[in-house]
Amino acid sequence: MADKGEVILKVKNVSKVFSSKGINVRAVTNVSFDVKKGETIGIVGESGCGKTTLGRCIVRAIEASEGEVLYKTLEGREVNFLTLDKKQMKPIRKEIQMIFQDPYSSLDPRMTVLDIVAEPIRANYPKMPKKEREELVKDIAEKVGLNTTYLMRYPHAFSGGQRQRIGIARALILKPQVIVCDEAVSALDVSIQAQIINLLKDLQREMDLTYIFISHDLSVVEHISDKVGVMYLGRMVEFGETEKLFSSPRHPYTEALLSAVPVADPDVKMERIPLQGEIPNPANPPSGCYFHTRCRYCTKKCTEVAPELTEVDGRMVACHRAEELSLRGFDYSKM
Amino acid sequence: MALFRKKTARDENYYMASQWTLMWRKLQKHKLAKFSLILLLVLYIGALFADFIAPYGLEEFSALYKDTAPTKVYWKDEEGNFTRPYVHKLKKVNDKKTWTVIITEDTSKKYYLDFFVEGVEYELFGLIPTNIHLYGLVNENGEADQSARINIFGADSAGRDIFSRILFGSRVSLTIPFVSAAISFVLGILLGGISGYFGGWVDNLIQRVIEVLSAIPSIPLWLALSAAIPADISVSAMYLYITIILSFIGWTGLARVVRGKFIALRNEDFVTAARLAGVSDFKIITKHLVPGFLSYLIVNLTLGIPGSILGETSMSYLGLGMKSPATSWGVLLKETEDLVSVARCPWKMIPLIFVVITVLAFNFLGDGLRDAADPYK
Amino acid sequence: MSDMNKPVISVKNLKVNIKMDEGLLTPVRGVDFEIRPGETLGLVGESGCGKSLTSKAILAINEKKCTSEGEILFRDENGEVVDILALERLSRKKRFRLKKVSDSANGPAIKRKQAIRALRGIRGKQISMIFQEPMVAFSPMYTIGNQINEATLLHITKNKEKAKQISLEMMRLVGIANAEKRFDQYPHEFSGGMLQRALISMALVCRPRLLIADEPTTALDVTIQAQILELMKELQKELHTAILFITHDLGTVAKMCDRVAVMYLGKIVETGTASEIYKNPIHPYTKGLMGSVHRIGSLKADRLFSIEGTVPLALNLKPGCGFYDRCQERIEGVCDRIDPENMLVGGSHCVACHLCKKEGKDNG
Repeated sequence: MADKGEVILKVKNVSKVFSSKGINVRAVTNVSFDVKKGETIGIVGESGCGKTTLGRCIVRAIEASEGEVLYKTLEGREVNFLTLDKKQMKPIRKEIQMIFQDPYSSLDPRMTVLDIVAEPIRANYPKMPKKEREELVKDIAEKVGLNTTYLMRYPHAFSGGQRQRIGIARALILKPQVIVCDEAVSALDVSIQAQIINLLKDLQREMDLTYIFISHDLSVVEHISDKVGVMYLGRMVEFGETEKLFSSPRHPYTEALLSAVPVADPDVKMERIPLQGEIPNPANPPSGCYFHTRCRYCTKKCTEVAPELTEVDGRMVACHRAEELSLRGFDYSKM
Repeated sequence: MALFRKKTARDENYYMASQWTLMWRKLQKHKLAKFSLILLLVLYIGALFADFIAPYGLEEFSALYKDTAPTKVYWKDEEGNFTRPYVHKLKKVNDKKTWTVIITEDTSKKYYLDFFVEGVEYELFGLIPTNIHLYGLVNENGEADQSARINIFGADSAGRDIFSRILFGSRVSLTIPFVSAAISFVLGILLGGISGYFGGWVDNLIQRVIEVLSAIPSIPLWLALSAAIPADISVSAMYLYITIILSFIGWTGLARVVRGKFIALRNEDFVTAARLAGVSDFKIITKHLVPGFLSYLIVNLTLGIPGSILGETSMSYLGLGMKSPATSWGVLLKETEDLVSVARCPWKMIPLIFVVITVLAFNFLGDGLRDAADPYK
Repeated sequence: MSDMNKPVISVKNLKVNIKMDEGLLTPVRGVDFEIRPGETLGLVGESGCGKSLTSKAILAINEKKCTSEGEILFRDENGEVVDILALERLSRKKRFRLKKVSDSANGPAIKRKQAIRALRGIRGKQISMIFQEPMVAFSPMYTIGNQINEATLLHITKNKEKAKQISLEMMRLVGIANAEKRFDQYPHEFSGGMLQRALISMALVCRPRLLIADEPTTALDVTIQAQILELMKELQKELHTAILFITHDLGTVAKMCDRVAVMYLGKIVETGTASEIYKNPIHPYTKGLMGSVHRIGSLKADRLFSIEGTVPLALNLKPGCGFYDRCQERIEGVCDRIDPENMLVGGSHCVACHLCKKEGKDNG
C-alpha cells in the first residue's frame, strides 16, 4: 500500500483514438502525469478537450489506444492497470472507482438504493452474508449523509444532490484508493454543489482517498485540487500546483481560460483575453502546437513544431515560449 | 428486511414503489385502458368456461334450426302478464298455397329459461366431468328438454348455436395470438439480444435476415406456409402449426427493438458503474439490461397481439387456418362469405363484432401500457 | 423623454398555480419586479425556484394547465401599457363560454382573436427570448438564415429581399463572420458558441424592448461564455434593450447585471443593485448562496459554506417563510407562522426576512 505522499498512479503517454468510417479522431494524445496518494488532481478544459475520455481510460471504462497507467495496489505491487486481463483485474478493479456526472442516468431506476449500493459488494464478495452486507451499506450511507431509513426507496424518490450521494456511496463501498470524479458536481445546484464538495473533502480525509477531479468549472477545481492539469484538444498543455498555475500561468491557453472565468463579485472587472477563432476539429488538428491557431503569442516555430511538456518554473508546460512570456493570472495577494 | 423497517406513510409508498407498481398505478389512471383490460378479462373468462357458459356443445346441431334468427324470448304470457321468460319450439309447416316448407313457432308448448340446466356432457377444464350448463331450457315439469333450442345469437347454416360457437372459437382466437406472442418474445429477446450484445458480423447477419423476413408481405407468406400444413392432421397439431406460422413474422420487429434498447442501455452510466464495480457481463444483462426494456417489450407485444388475432382470423377465413369441425372466429366468419347469406342472416356477422372489440381492447390497453411503461418520465 | 425611463415591464404579484392530483402546486407565489430600458435584471435561483415559469408567464407561453394571477404590465414603444396576463386570459377563453356571456356571439369572440393577435405582436417582436440550449432551439431541418428570417418576415417586412438584408445585418452585428455564407448553412454546421450568437441575432432582429435570457450561457464553455456575455452587453448598449437575465450562476450575474433579484421557492427574497447584493447580502438564503461559491484567488477555506437540505417541492405549502426549514437563523414561532414581507433596507435594497425587521427595530 502506498503511503501518503508516495506516487500511487502514474499516467504515462495515454492516448485514445476513436475511429469510425475511416476517420480517426485523437481524443487524447500522449497525456502523462503522476498522482500522489491523498492528493486531488484537477483536470480542466473546455468541452471536447478529451478530459472525460482521459478519465474513462484511467478507470478502464473504455480501453485506451496507447500508454500505461502504473498503479500501486493495496498490496504494494506496481501493475499496469491498462493491460491486466480479466483474472488479474478482478482483485484490483475495486481499488479504482468512478463518480459520474449525471445523477439521473448513473443510477438504475429499477433497483432500490440498498441494491444499488450493495451491488459492488455482491459482485466482489458473493459469499458475504446478507446481514453483514446490509450493515456495510448502512455504514457507508451514514458516511455520505444519506438517511438510512430511506434505503428501501427507489432512486426516483431522491433529488439530484441525494442521488449524487448514492453514487458516491456506491463508489466508496469497496474502499477504493483512487476515485475519478467526472464532472461530479456540474449537474447540481450551487448550494448542493457546496454540500457535495464538502462531503468529498471530508471523505478524502477520512478514507485516505486520491481524487482525479475532472471538471469544466475552474472555481470548483481551484477549490478542491492540489494540482491542476489543463487540457486542450486532447493534449495536456500545463500541469502544476493549483496556486502556482492560477496565479502565474505559463501557457497562453491557461491564461485565456483563467481570464474568462466569471468572478462572483461585481467590482472585479478582469480584462478578458480574447481567443481568436474556434476550437479546431479534432479529426483534423492543426500542425505544430495545437493551440497556435488561436494563440496571440504565436511564432513561426509554433506552427511547425509541436512543443513537448517540459518543466518550467516548477510545473510542466507544453509551450515553446513558456520561459519568456509573462502571463497574467489571478492575484492571490489581494484577497 | 429486518434492518430497514417499512414506513406506512402515503408518500413512503410512492418512494418505495417499484417500477411495476408505478406502471400499474399509471395504467389505472388511463380509463380506456382499464376498461379494455376488464373487457379482455371477461372475454378470457368466457373462453375458459366456454363449455359451461355455452348451452350447447361444439357439434350439437338441429337441422330444424338451420339459418334461424336469434330465438325470441317471451316475458309475458298470453294475457299480457309478466311471467318467467320462456320460448317456443319451432315446427315445420307446409304452406298449402306455395308448397314450401315454412318454419314457424309452435306456440302450443312453453319452454322456460332456467339456470344450471343439464345438457351435453363435458369435462370442465378437462378434469371435472359434468353436464351442467349456465343456462338452458326446461319444460313445464322443470326437466331439461332438448326438443326446443335457445340460440341467442341465432344459428348457422348447420343449425348450430352461434353464441356457443363464438365461445368455443374464442378459445382458439384468443389464445393463438398469446402463444405466438410468447414464441416471438423468446425469439426476439434471444436474437435481438445476441445481435445487440455481440455486434459485428453476428449482428449484421441477424439484421439482414430480419430485413428479408420483414420485406415479405405477411399474408402471402402465411398462405404459403399454411399450404405446407398437411390436410389430415389433428386439430391440436393444426393449432400448433398456425401459432408457429404467426410468430414467424412477429419476432422480427421485437428483435429490432431489443437490439436498439440493448445498445442504448449498454452505454448508460449505471451500466458502466456496474462494470467498474466488477459485476459480470451475465449479471449486467440480467439485472440491468433486460429489466430495463422489459416494460417496452410488454407494450410491444400487447400492440402486436391484434395483428396476430387478425392474422389468425384472416387465415381461417380464407380456409387456410383452422377448419371445421374445429372453430375459431375466422371459421365462423366464413359463413358470411357471400352477400346473400349476410343479407338473409345478418346475425352471422356477430362474430365480427367480437373480433373488432377484442382488437380495439388490445390496442387501447397497449396504448395505456405505453404511456405507463416509463414511470420515470 | 420621460417614457424612456419608465419601466418596460413591471410584474406585480405574479402567481402561477398548477393543479395536480396531489394538490395545488404553487411554483410562483407572488413575484414583483420592474425592468427599465437598457437595464439588466438578474433573476437568480436554484432549479425549482420558479424562475423559468416567471419568464414564460411574461411571454404568455406557459402550458394550459398553469393558471397565472397578478399583473404583467408591458409598456410598448408608444408608451401604451398592456397587461399581458389579461390578454392571455382573454385568449384562453373558449368560444362556447363566451357565447353564454353575451347574446351576440361574435362580439367577445373577436375580442379573443384580438387578444391572440396582440400577444403574437408582443411575442418575438416586443419581447423575445434566448434559450439555454442553442442546439435544441434551432430546427435542424432549416437553414439558420431561414429561421432568423422567419421573425423578420413576420414582424418587420413582407419583402423577402429586404428581410434578408435586415437579418444579415443582425448576424453581422452579433459577430458572425462571413454572414452571407453562414446564412445558408444548417445548424449542425455551427459550433455551440456560433449557434448561441445566431440565436441572439434571431431574438434581437426585431429590436425587442425586452429580452429574456434563460440561462443563455450555461451550456457553453467558459471562454465562449465570456464572449457571449460581452456581446450581449455591447448589443444592449446599442439597442437599449431591457434584459431579464435568468441564471443560477452568481459569477455571470456579477458580470452582467445592474440589479439582482434572488428567488427562492417562488418568491423573490432579496433584490437590490448588484453591489448591494454581493457586498451586503442580508437574507440567509442569499448569504448561503454567496458562501457556497468559491472565489478563485480568495483564501482557501477548507470547507465551503453550504445550505443544508434541499429545495422543497412547492406543493401544499405551509404558512410561513419558504426558507424556514433550511434557515440557520430562523426564529421559532415567527418564521414558521408569518410569511415575511418585502422591506426596504437602504437604497434599492429590499429583503423579505423577519430578521431584518428585528435588526431594524434594534437600530431604531
